[in-house]
Amino acid sequence: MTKQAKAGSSEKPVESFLPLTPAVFHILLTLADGEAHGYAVMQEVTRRSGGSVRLGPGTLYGAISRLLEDGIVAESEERPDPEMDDTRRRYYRLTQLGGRVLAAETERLADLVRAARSTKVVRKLRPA
Amino acid sequence: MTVGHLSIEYSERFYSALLSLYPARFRVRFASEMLQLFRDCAHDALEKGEIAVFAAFLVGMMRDLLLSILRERGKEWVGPIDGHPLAALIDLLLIPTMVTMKLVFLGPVLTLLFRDSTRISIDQFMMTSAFFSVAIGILALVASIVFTRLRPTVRLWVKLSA
Repeated sequence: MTKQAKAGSSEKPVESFLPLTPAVFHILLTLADGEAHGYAVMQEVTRRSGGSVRLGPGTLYGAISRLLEDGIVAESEERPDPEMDDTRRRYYRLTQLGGRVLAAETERLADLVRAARSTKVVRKLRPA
Repeated sequence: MTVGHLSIEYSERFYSALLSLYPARFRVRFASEMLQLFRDCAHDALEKGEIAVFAAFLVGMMRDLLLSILRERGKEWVGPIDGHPLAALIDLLLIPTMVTMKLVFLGPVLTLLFRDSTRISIDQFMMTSAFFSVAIGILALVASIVFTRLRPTVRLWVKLSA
């Protein structure tokens, strides 16, 4: 674990990072599947969200910058398969704190959905 | 060299120039990655073959870049520095000086610029309260520059002393 990740995990409780923006949530979901570079994250977020979340380089690296500062993601020191590797790129991975933040946000969203579904209006308007 | 390649080359140069508007800390860390990502996306957009797709891609990239620059600049200027009291004091002084500079400076400067049409000579101008407004505006400008430059130093000092 990097110095940044350690600092992040010892200082702030997981709840202090919530709620996550849709862009950050999708970035973390992508990195939960394994380490990736910026272009791969961008493409995967577009695919995963069905095109509803599109990240430009500014938004993506702005988010990564904050996530690195908070110790939620870290730059990967190990390079992937050398044949697949592109030495110009930096790879990012989810830290342990990042995994906990992602799980907590998923749980928070699930609670929201459960609460919404328990209301009469939503039950009535629910598509068949 | 095809028109497509030229389009990518020129748009890349333009994008690269705009990257210099980011704060130094962010630029040093991410500019090369952002440029690489822009290049990859530009090739993707061009592969689709339509000029309209490439134009829409460029507009989207510029919008993203400018909003992101404003966000990062805003963070650099007025974001809290780890809740340190010295940093809080600088923030407290920075915002009023910047606002003062903009409000107090603008009117008299416009008066000076258009003094021909308002028939005010420099001597007359120096006797008016607008002259003192310019002086306060200049002081506020100098103060805001000093405070803006001081922030990264304080940030570094706070980090090193932590």
